[in-house]
Amino acid sequence: MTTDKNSLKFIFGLIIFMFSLALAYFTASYLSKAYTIDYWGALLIFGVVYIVIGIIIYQVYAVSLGFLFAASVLVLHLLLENFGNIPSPAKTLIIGAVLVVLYLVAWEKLDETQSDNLPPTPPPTSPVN
Amino acid sequence: MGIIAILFLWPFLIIALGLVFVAFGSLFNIGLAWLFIFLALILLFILISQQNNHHFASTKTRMTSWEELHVLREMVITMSISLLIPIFTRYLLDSFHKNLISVIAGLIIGFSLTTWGMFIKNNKVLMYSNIFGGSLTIIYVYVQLWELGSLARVIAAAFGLIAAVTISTIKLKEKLS
Repeated sequence: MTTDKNSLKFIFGLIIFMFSLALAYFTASYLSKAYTIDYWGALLIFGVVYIVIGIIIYQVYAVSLGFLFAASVLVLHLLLENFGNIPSPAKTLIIGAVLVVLYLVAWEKLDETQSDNLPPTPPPTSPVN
Repeated sequence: MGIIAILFLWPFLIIALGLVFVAFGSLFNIGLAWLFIFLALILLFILISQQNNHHFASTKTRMTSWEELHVLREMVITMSISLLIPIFTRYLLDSFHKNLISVIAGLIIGFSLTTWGMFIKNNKVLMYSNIFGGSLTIIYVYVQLWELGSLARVIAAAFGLIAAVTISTIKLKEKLS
């Protein structure tokens, strides 16, 4: 039953991921042709919107992850195509921001003194009279 | 909440690792970036299987997929930090047109992170990523120093000597006394 539920979540997440990517790329392509709106600018807007949606609906995590992974793909595609054109100070800021978040994650989540990764301890039993 | 936070970490980790790839492609060429990703994947598989064997030798059980994911996450973070630090320093130097002050700032970053990594306890991710990232940064900055003349080389050599003596003294204090 649990495996079925997880598979269902995975499938729905995957569908949302694919459709959100398709929507972003098709819309950006259409807007750039019909209204001469910048293709990469439109993709950036979609990326930001997907991140915001993913954060807002974090409780439905399959849907949220679908949007967040789609945003990852859009951001990476944007960076891959335009990273060379970004001025060095902006590149420094982008990489610095990512480094700061990575350090925070490493500091908070992976500290071996914390019991985050250990199995939960059983509650104390009441004393036997 | 912890599990949800860990799940939501993955999209960001993909961006971080992808940024390493993009920065490599921008600095060198896209072929080298693909080679890096290929080698990184092989290294990840080797390290995970090594961890699994180590785990089996100590507990006589194989790692669960959850534990494997934890190890993978640790390695992705370590790899991303240790490669992004020298790239960050490179762009920092570029932003200031490689003047002496920015090179000294790069040296301070490299030595500070390496020292921090050497003395950090109970966090292997920060330890390894700081040591590797800091060392790569120091190597990169020293290579850049060659073009800045003899004064810059003197400052860098003095800086390195002071850092090495300080670290050695602190690390070996117990053994020497």
